[in-house]
Amino acid sequence: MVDRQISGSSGLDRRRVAVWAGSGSLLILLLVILLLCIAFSIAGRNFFSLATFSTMARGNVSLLLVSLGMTAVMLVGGIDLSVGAVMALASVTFVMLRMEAGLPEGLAILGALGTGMLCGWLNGLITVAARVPSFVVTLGMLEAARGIGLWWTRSQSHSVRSSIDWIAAPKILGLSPAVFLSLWVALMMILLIRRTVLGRYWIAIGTNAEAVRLSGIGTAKPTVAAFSICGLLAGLAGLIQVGETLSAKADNFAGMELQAIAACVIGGTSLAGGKGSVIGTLLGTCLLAVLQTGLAQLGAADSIKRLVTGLIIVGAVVIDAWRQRRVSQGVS
Amino acid sequence: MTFAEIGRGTSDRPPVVLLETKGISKSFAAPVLEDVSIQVREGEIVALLGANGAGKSTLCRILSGLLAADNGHLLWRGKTLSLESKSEAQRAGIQFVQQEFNSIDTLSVAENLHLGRMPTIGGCWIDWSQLRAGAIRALERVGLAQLDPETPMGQLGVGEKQLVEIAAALDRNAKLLLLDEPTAALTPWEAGALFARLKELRSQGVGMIYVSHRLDEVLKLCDRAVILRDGRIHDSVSLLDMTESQLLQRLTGHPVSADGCAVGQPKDRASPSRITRFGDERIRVEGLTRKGWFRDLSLVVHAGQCVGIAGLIGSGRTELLRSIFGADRVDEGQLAIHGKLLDRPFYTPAEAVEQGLAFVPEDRKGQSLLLSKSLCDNILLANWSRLHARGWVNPGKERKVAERWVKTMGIRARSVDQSAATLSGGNQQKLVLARWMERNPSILLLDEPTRGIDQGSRVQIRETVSKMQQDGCGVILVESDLEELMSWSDRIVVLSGGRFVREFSRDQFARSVLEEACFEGVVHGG
Repeated sequence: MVDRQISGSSGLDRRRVAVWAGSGSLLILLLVILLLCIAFSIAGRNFFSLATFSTMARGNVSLLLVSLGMTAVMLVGGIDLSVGAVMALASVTFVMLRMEAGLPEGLAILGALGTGMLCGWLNGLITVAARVPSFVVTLGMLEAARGIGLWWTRSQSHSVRSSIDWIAAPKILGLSPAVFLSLWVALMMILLIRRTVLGRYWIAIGTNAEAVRLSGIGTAKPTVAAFSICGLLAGLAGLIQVGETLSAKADNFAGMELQAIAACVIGGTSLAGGKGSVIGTLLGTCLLAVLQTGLAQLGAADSIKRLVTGLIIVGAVVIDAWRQRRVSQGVS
Repeated sequence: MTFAEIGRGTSDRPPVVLLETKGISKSFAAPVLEDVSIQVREGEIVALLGANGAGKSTLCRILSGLLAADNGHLLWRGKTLSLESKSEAQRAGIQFVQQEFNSIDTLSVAENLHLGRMPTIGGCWIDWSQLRAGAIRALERVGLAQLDPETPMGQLGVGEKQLVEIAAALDRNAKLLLLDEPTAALTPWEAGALFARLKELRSQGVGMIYVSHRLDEVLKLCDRAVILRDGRIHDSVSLLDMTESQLLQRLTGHPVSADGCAVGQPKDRASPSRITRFGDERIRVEGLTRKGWFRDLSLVVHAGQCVGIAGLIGSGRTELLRSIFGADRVDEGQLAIHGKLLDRPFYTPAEAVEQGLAFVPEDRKGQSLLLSKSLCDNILLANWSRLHARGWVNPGKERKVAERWVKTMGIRARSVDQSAATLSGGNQQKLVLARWMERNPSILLLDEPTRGIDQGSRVQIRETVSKMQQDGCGVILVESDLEELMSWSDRIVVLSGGRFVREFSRDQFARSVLEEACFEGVVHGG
């Protein structure tokens, strides 16, 4: 027991080292993003401009919001495949409440956000209560939400006259209020994950749910909370999309869930749960955004964009897994 | 003891020795096997007996090549055999039929019988006709000729599954079968059918090592018994004309009186520092029943008292602790905490923890620890909601609490930020204890708290628990090591065959009586 005990200064140093080692992956990610920006600037000439960056930011607000929700769900060891469908359903809800039911704007907004949260809450509840994989539950929700949306809109695109388009319109430096809103949500998520008991529970449940249960902690409520937040953020993302286009269609945003999962995974969030960060997800979203915008500006076909995105996703995960193994071997 | 002595008593058997081990030793944290020498002849069934942790399973794993021995060597038909891997043991003709099934439920019986050695056409396509023919041949050998080889494995009963596993072993040209508790999951009728088959195989010259706790079975089936105790060969006896009580006496090493009770003088273990008068009632368990595991168990623990539960592995001791803690549902029974009867037993561990219970499970990595997370997180797991009012985390406070426990428990660590995976087993267990001590529980449930832990940590964990007892905590302890159990406990109840068969107060503690009581339920009841 005369072993080195924790003493003030050396403990702090080691803590710093640990923090640096932990964020190593994120630094690499940041570097890759910067390199891509430089490469696209050289190749495309138009890339390095305020217009490009502000358009890129405005265009990826929804992806960021959905990815943040997905991070929470993936932390508890789940996955949510329904986010795209829930986004569409929330946007449809807003438009239909406004146009068909003639409700005031505020109520329609609450309706859209509530719909998103309700879908997420159901996802969580069924996953926890029936003890089935969230993969299957949310796959069911994906179909069901699309079905309800299509039935409600009679499979047609509906447009809306509303003042919520201000949220997606450029304001400061070409950035829309939605951009700031999404960054504020990201900040809140950081606080939630790192500074609240709920966030601690999420990480613990994703790491070893049985140990958490046997420590006298109910795992159901935190899990349902994560899914609910994910649904709420998907609803918010859908609402912002209405602001952008002033229309809604029930089969919009297909494939959003896979992009969100990609953003999380590139950012170092583990599919097995218990590991992930908001900063990582933010950087993952940035990488996807830069890649897609840059390639588009170069006039690359959609096929090429998807091919490159696919390679980047697999590459990021492979590199991360390889680094993790080296770190764990080094510690032994 | 030399192997020449061990071989004695079966001189009427043909002297073809199949397998001989010389001085096998193996240690993990502590020595598990020491200088074990046995031999098995063709057409001989040797029973391997001993209490929990005596080294039976380890020996089987070494013989089947699943585990490498530290010392000693094996002779197969007189030639040295190195058992580097399972496949080498299989090639030599040693087949291990393990307690848990290794079959794949979704595949057919025929496919399961040929796992890893499917007959093929051109090295690629499965030769279904040969697969079927081979399966029928293999099934006939174990008396399952009526079973359609196309049946999915999942549709078979446990007994049939066990026979299919044995058929697969024999079909791999087994000369020596290692059977680890093959009747544990069988009905008496199925067990009887299995014995008939095993006897037939014996007459065909197959040698067997048979591990079992059931002495009646051993007497029915086996020719000779090797008794392991604390990793050493304690005795080797011929089972011809032996009665159950005689065998039990050899097994426990003490003379047994007519009614089955040991005559030996119990050791006096009372130490002066021990509390002899206990405080208020901490927990009372009344008529607890969990179908298939135990029924009608009652137990009282007072403040400062440690009640030990003795029982063989699989006797339901772990399930009892889990049921009290609300981790498993109970079918019947009541709990009283601090003398107050509860409306119903706990449905969830959260309810139990709320009432001041704490549980240290047997499986540290699977059920206690967040391996990849920091010591801080691990210590605070059960305490976050209490430590942080209103749900906001105060990291400085967390670290202070964690660092205090690391110091008081003497956990060897560089910092509270390192992951729990980097600690030794003993330090990991101290982490789990610290987690609960921070909650200050009044009832502590311990399941094998010192298993696989080095001596130093073991002593420290023991001291920590004693301190908690002095502060008024009641302890229920499950422990396989009887010496350890006797030194911790103030009272020991023996769980066997799903019931408490005996109860001992401290002055009655003796290894022989305890061991005997552990076997009681399975000998007379099972």
